[in-house]
Amino acid sequence: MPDFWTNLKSSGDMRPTLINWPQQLQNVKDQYLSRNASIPAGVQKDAIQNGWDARTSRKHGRGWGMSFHLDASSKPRWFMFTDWGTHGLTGRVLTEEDLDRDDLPDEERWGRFENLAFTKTGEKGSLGARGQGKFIFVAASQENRIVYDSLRCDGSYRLGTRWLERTQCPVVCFDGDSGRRQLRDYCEDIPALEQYGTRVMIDKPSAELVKAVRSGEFARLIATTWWEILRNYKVQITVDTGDGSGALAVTAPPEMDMPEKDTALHVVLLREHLPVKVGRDTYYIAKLHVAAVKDGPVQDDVRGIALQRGGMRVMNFGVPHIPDDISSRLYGYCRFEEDLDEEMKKLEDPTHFYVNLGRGVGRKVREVIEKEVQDFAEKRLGAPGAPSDDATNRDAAKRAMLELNRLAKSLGVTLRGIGTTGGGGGGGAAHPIRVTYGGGLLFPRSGSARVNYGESLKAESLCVANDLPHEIHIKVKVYLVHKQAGEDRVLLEKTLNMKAQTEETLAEPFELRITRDEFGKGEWVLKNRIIAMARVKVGKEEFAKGKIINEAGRRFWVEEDPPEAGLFEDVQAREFQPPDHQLQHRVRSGSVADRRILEYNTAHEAYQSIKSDSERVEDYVFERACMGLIEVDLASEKPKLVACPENLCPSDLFVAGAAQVARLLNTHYGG
Amino acid sequence: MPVLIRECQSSDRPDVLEVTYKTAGGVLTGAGEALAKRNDDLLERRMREIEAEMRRTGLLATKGKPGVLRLWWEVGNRLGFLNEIVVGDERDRVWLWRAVYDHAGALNPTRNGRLSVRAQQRPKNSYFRYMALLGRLDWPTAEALGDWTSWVELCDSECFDDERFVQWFAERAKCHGSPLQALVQARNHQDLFRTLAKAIRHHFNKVDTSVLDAKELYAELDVLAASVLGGKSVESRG
Repeated sequence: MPDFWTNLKSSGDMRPTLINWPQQLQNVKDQYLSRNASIPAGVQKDAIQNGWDARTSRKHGRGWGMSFHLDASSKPRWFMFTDWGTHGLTGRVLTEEDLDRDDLPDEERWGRFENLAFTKTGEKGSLGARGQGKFIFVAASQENRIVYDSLRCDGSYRLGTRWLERTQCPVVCFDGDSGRRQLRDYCEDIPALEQYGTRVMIDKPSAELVKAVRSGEFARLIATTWWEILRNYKVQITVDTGDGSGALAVTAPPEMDMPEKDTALHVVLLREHLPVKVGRDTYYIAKLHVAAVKDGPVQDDVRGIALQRGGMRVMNFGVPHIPDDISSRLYGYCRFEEDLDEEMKKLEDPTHFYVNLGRGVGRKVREVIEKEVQDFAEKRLGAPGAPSDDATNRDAAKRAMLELNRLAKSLGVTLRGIGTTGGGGGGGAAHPIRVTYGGGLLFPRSGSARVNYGESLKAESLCVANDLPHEIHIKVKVYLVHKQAGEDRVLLEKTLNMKAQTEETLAEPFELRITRDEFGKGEWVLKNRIIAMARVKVGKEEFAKGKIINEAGRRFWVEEDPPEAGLFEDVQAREFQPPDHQLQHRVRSGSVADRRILEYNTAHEAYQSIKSDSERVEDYVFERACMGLIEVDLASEKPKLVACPENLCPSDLFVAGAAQVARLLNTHYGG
Repeated sequence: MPVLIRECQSSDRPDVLEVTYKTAGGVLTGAGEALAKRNDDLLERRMREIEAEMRRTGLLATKGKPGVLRLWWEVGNRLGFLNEIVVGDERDRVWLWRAVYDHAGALNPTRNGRLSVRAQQRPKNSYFRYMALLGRLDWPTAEALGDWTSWVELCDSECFDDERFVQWFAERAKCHGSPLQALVQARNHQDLFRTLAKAIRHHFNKVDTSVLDAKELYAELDVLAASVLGGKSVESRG
């Protein structure tokens, strides 16, 4: 008897699932932003990672290089990067049948680049893992379009394009002369490829990317991410910002030229072949190299311990329980031996900006590094002794909460619009009377709303625009609010008569310098307010004198990272009193409507039995948080985890909830 | 110069309070710390004096009872000394309204003695500031407000950051023939006041009163008071 599914396939009614591609692309962007990584950071990392993985000299990287080049026009038409010393995008244009094979040969690089998630079969030492990085290039284009071409090692040339539509993301390619003609049609200024390799052209790069390239931030991102291959392999990576200076070579940051022994300026920790025991297996950290600078803080983009994989910095992590004045001077990296490197690769997320250090091998690696660095800080740098069990358990609980938040977000469990980590602003139709920052308000580091002392928020100009068809009499106030201090400070006030459809410049350029004397640490808001000074009509609304017509603000954090966004804003240890004393946890409202606080009962016997082991505390709190998540989900208007709970009887509801907890635990521990 | 306060530093241990300094500038200097400690001592001394006086007069016993308005009016009258304290940086003065809680003793207006998030984080919304604003009115006007809760509701409005609102209450209540004086003297003054408070909150919602001069602001408030007295609604500001 024919199989049910085989029958369906041969019925001819089969249709592919349609994908909302703009949303898919937004998801990719969100993944990067959720890792505090900007789009420019993602572009440089994925570009170099793709090129470095395709190098012909695998051992020494001989002859490998990469150039980044921004079009010189004021509104750049393209931003391109080219690699050489690589195989080029070899292989055929693959059909669906080709892609259906499990044993797609390594040489089919073109096919892999054009399609999504067809990765190599576990090649050791390669950096790429999921094959989705190329979409960050599409996301970096204002028009969501890229052009790419390749001169392959067999001498053949091919050009391809990708663009985004509502329900599809088509690709077109042209071989040989036809491809060369298409390149000329796209842009006459772009020269033909002369060396074997691959080039990607991001069409009309986003303002964020252009700014990062022109400001030098892009080159610094390359330097801090790829310092190891820049230094050890002497490879050439250049950036041409289009300002006439030509292609300038990126060099490893001087900080990363770390001494191996103490010097007049550094106190050094160096460990090699450091064992990490996981069950019966022993893996090894090849090198843990940490330095503390004696005469002041290091730049915050190198602070902490960098996890290196294959010459690339994946992420930096800070070691807890070390006072700020010491941790701000600490930096370094660790690199793994081959087996551990492969295990860590499995824990890396598709953005390459995050490794899950909350479970399995990752957790053990984190514990080994934390112990080494804490001992170093205590014995050599005068940090206070080991933290109490309470503090260790608090950190364990916090890690569990962050991991659960990440999981909840990936499952779409939210209470309305969670997810802002700062910056903000924008969205929706522009108000006809508004304050604007020319070229956008530029933060010192893209993707983060953190500003340190000595840094500035900048814009080309600060303007006010009146799009109305009539004159208006208004007052503009630009002021600062320090959230913790509840303090308002006016930066600028101006009363204006504005003619119809005009723009007035209030400051050019605009710069807000963050000084130690003027700014306390913590959250600030740069606000602007437009007040009617005479009766004004905006659409159907009328504003009398004094009425606020429009108000907006941009948040930033001085000397602090913006708080992690997520469903649970905090996790707190509490000794529950009767009648709650037999509960293990409870969920209560957070500081805003769409966030919650998880409390766990430290008096409960179940907690008492595991509290001496912080690992078990982390697991315990994670499980409690899973239960809390189900409660929150069931109480929401549209539950995401338990479908149609109103149709379930109590016992079925209990089973459905328990099944979801089991699923969350499975995802957490199983990956 | 900073203001010394005591606050909980860890959400896990809400009962453990630690000394911290609030300052608009990011720097705590030795001189600033010394000044903050002197001010802290002064606050303690003065609040104990006020507490003793309120206990002596028997007003303290009204705490938590319907007649508490008089107690808070008397306390508010005596909090004027906070405006005389030298804080160095005027931006930090607002934190004195938070610091008073640390020395409130029996005068702590919160129900269980624990500070709410609002009391901890929003010094402008400190009950002690509301008491001081109340203390600027003469007693018949304050009494006409009815109860403490109504005053708190009014002070919670953002527009009450502009202290000219209280000034208007104080001046117009004494002004012969003004709608507010008529309102204060009316038999149903408590109901009328509640309606006026609601009208003020509604009328000045999303209004930046700093662009209105006193004459304009008072005129608008007079119209509101008159309309409440006459049982009419006032045209919205937009």
